[in-house]
Amino acid sequence: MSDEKNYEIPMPSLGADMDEGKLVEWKIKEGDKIRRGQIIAVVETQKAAVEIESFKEGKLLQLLAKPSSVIRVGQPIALMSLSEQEHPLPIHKEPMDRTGPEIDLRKSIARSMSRSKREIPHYYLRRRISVHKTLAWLDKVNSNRSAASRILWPSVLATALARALKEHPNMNGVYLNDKFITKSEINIGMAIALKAGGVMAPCLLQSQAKSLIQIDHELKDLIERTRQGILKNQELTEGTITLTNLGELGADEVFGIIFPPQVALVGFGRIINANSSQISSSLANAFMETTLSGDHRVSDGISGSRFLESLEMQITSPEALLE
Amino acid sequence: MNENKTEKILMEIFKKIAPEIDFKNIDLNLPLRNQVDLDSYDFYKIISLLEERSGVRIPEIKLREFKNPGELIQYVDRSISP
Repeated sequence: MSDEKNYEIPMPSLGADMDEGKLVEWKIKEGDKIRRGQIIAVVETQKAAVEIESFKEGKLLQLLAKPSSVIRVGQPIALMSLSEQEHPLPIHKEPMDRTGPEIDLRKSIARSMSRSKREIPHYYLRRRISVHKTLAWLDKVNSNRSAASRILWPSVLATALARALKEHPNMNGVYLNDKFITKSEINIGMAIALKAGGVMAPCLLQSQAKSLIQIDHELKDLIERTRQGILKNQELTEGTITLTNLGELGADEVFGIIFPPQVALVGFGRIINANSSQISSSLANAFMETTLSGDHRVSDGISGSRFLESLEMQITSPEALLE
Repeated sequence: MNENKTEKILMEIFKKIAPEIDFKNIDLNLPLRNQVDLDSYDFYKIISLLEERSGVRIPEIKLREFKNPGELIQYVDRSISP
């Protein structure tokens, strides 16, 4: 039982659609001192294996859950004694553990996208953004860099999005309990395709204060870890907006489904070269169809249009993204 | 003199980045994107590793000019110092 001295660590909720998680392994043992932020366990959700951090400081008394058991969100998985400065939070009790069915990503996508389509009145906008100058600029920036340190195009898009969101707080946040809460931190969920099929959108945390170089570095790390299935719980739960970039093999435009409880999704189609039928010719008139899926409970077509205009400004004046 | 050296490096890289692809089945004279299911991040990783392991700098502008993996291999082979 949790009381003033002891705290039961619950199975954390790693997303609005998560009911249960599978304990993969413990990273701590009984008797260990635990720091706040320390990785204590690996939990598998529908989406990935996630490292769980401790939100408390103290000593581990007892491990209550065994590896490979499936545990409902909120159920205790371990008991720790708290260091003196900690004040325990009451935890919500739910019925007993049970071993559940195999968890799969497709089901999770189905659940969260169905919920989105049921609950969120989407509106969609498109703006054609000319990108040839930005591509030429990026070529120049990258010309002196080794392949490994070349800045990726999606990093440019993510940084531009973070900057544009600063002026449009009604696109960045969460809608919970019939209320929109705008967020000062900008955590961009990046839609990343998985090799085995399916897509995940772990987020670039705290993008509001970062330069293009930092975002690029973090995005590469995020893609690597997503493919290896090693993500932090915050990266799956704290997204404030989603970016989906179809890339060069993708369709011309994408009208995405908002990832609840977020209120907006920005989609980028493949880069299209307007006046050329030859694939290998220059990018002289290249453009990109940029779309916004917005939540009509929070914003409308006018504010959405202004937001896309700001996004275009950021993409087409890339020098500032380096700052 | 360096014939096949780059191809061997590339084969090793594919084993690491895309183990599901059998490099031997790739026709080096046809565009890669029509033959294998790789995204732009895979390409980024492949080129990064190819630079690292061959010691040859591959400019992005060159990359856009290559029509197939054969041309890339030829470029790197020619640039490897003997």
